[in-house]
Amino acid sequence: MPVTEAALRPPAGALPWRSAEVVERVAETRRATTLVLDVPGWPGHLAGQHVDVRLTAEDGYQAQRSYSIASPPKAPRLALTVERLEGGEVSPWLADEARPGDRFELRGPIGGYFTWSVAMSRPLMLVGGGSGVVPLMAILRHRAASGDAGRAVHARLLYSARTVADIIYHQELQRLSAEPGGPEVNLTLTRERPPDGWKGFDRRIDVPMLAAAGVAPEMDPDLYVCGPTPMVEAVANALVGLGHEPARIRTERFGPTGEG
Amino acid sequence: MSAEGECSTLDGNAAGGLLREVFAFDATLAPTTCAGCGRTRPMAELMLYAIELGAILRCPSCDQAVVRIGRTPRGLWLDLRGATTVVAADPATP
Repeated sequence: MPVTEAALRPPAGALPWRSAEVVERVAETRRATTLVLDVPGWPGHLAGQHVDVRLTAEDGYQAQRSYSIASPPKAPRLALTVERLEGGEVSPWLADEARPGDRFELRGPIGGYFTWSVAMSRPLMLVGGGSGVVPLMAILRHRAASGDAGRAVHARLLYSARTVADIIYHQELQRLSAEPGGPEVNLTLTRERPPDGWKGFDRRIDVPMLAAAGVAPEMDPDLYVCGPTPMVEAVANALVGLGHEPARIRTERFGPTGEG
Repeated sequence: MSAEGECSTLDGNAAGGLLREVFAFDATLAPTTCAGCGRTRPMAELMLYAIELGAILRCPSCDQAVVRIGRTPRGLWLDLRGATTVVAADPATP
């Protein structure tokens, strides 16, 4: 093989860009949309991983962002849930414009750090803020799809959203939590007086809330925290303060959007 | 996770795709020792700045630029002066 050709090959670890075709779009909230995709050659993924999405304008300008995978491993189709950020270069197109038949490029799966497999088997504590719930949903869907092995994993989710209308996957979370062996789901609202009959919390996540709705350190859980940076920092510090092992706390932060 | 903005505060997770262009292993898992303060953590836990033309991963403890990657016309430019060591961790034993 000529040297020049070899030099142009990506390194062994580089992920190829693949063409994704939108098969279905599901409106989750007024700002969040799930895109169900057909991605030929998709190698499969772990719960919690993400993809890089690249959009190319007609003049060749490219913009690239990362989005968590919402679908569990082994799902027939890859699904991303994208929250529209005002003024963003990528999310408004994905969340508002993309229609079945439209195509864009993505590469993945990316990231082995914020991942969970049912084989890990320890109790599971998930804490999400805003669209930070997306990779946590992939984890809960993986758990739900894992039968007895999934049900054997004690799991709790604490999810912070601005208002009831901003709760992504609200019905699915209610359904999962009502199933025998389903996860315990606790919700908190940060910008709205809760409606009558609300059984959740109504403030930002804090130490007493984590103590009440979390998995006790004595149960030796794996913990996953995903959301806006200030929320992730506050929750991770609070969990350490409650006695959790820092190495067991996996964190994933995202940008300027805020849930609180 | 969704990442938007020129200089949003994200973490090394969001640089995973770019890191795969540089390293033959998943560097987000790689225990990386900061040359500034000596703390070791996986690259996923470093703070990410400026993903557009590359990435700067900073130590959350001391703000040292631990990993710097620039995308240039000649290829990717990697500066690891801020890292004492990077361990290519075995994914089977995170």
